Amino acid sequence: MKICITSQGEERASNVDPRFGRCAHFCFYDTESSEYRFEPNEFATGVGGVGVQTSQYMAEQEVDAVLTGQVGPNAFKTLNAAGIEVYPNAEGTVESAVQAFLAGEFEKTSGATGPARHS
Amino acid sequence: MKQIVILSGKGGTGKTFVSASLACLAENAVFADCDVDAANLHLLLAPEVKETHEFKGGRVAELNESACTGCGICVEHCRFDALSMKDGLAVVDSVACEGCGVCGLVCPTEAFSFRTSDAGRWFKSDTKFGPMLHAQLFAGEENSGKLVQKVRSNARSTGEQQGRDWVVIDGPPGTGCAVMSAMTGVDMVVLVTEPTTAGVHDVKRVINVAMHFGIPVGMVINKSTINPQVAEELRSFAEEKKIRYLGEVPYDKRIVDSVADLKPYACSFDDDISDRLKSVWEKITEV
Amino acid sequence: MTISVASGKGGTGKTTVAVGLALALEQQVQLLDCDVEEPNSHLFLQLEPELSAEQDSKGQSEAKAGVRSSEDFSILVPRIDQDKCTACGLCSAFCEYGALARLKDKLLVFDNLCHGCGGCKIVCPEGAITEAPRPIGKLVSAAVPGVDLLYGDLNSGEVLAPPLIRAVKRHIGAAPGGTEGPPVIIDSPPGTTCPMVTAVKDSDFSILVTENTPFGLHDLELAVEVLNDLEMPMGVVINRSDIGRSDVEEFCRKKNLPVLMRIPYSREIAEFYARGESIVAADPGIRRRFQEMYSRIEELVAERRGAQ
Repeated sequence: MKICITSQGEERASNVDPRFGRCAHFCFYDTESSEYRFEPNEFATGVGGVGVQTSQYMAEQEVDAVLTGQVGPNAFKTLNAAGIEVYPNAEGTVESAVQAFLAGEFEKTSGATGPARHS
Repeated sequence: MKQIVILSGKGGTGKTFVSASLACLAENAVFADCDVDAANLHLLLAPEVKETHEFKGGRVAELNESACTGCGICVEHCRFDALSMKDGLAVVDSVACEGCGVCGLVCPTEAFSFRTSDAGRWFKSDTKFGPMLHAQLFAGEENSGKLVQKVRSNARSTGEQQGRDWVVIDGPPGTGCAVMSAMTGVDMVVLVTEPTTAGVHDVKRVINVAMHFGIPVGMVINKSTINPQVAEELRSFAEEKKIRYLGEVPYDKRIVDSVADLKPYACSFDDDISDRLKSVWEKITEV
Repeated sequence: MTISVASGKGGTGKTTVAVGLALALEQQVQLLDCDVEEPNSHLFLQLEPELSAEQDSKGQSEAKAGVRSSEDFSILVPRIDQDKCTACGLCSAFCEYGALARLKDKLLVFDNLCHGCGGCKIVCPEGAITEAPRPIGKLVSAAVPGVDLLYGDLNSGEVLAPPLIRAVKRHIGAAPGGTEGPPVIIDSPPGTTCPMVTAVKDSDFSILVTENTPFGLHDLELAVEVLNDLEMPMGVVINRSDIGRSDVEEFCRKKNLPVLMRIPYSREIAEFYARGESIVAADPGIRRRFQEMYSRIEELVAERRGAQ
């Protein structure tokens, strides 16, 4: 499966970015190849609807699950409609978050975890 | 790096007076003046502008008059009162125009195009107390939220690059878009209120927005002596809503004079009032 | 005649002057509070803001006062008929605000991002979009003797002030029989950007309220620039006129701005204000001065019309 972890930096040792829509980087992790791929988040500086755009991007990238800190209502609605699972409250480094996820330590959420954030 | 924003709801409560003092007391800080409509903090901190940047606003409709047949279909469809007819031609009110594009869609002769407006400037400056980010939205423009966001993100990146401990943000009045942009992602909202009916009414509105965002709130009562009874109500209200009470400052001519002389109070004087301001800052650092 | 009361800086006394003028005039007046993010005029008219018909008799009101009505103000947002929708994506491509998102085979609507432009409905080739109202605020009307008040109250968390401001202004009334209606006084939001311009646009005259401080002067200059762009006849009221030393008078002289009224600082006015009582209650003598200001404004407006 393919998961996306929101990251503050571009390394496995970077910390998880608690923001979803405006996170600094995306880290795509493939459970089959165990590979990490980092990308800067181009939607971060957008005016409004950033959560929606970021979520649509996840769908385009065929992500199965998102690991992050908080997810607002617009983002959650979009991820949910795309069938993408959302695992909030991730902390620590990207690598440790991935390991914890693989070990089944995360619980997915059935709703937005934070209030709507405006630009 | 911690970020705090100073807000008040209504204008005139003394927000900028308090912000300037907190700014000069904060060690190793970067400042952001997010009142981009009627920016005032710079008057007290005297910044030296180092960089000036353009700010592009939203889209605005423009009419190619030679293509306009005066049919008026655009006027019928505009939901923002931005179009009218004059002398057989459509006229765009560029302030009211939201750039939605509907006029362009319905015009049978494709007479509309859309440009991004030159809506303002933002600045990176140096002050005696640290670097400062500020901006000015041009008259009549909107998208203040977007410009505030620019000031915020540049203040944040300046702070991160320079290893600053604090971002002190002077917020705009009201509770709208600009206030929300000033508020997102901060560690604390510091409310400057005054013990008046209007002051209390407006500060409650800001508190609702802050709680909507899940941000901790602290309260400073300015001009506390003009109505001790309402000041007491504010203190109880703070307790009831689990808002951190940071302190109060009396109404005093010395404060009015300090603003008239453009001096940030806490660093220009050493008296009972500066002590109170220092105590507010200490309480903020404790949170 | 419509007079807007504005200021660059907040807290200079806009609402004090707007309410004071409305109460001082001896004819029936319409007071429109367009500061929809923080409407305050009603606080100084001794009303209850909730929907109650209780009379208020704190000693200042001479007769019954109360809240007449409160109604929701809505913008129209899209609703998609999923049976008709082919997920072509034309609507989401058109939307400038990101309020429509296409995902595989369906369209999602984000009400809170929608500005209500109606474009998606027009662009949809399948007729799959209808519109539903989404309340963004309230329109509240009330009355005290001599003053009909209408104000907009934007819901917490909403950002679209201009549509609500325009809705308030649509209530500028005409008297029966088609004659010109009562004088209208508009309490504008502070500042110089879109909400302020929306409120003052098309009024006959603007009063700029300022104070004699560096902030007051700086922001007055900005406000004057905006009003000049609108070609709006204007005048200045200097509040707390005897405090401060920022040469506001000098600025007004240089720019040929009539100073319509100077209100010296008064502990009494401040205390009445703090309690939510109007300036006219604090200083009954000030009624005359507001009436004189109104006559002066009538002259200035007539002069301007004559010159055009």
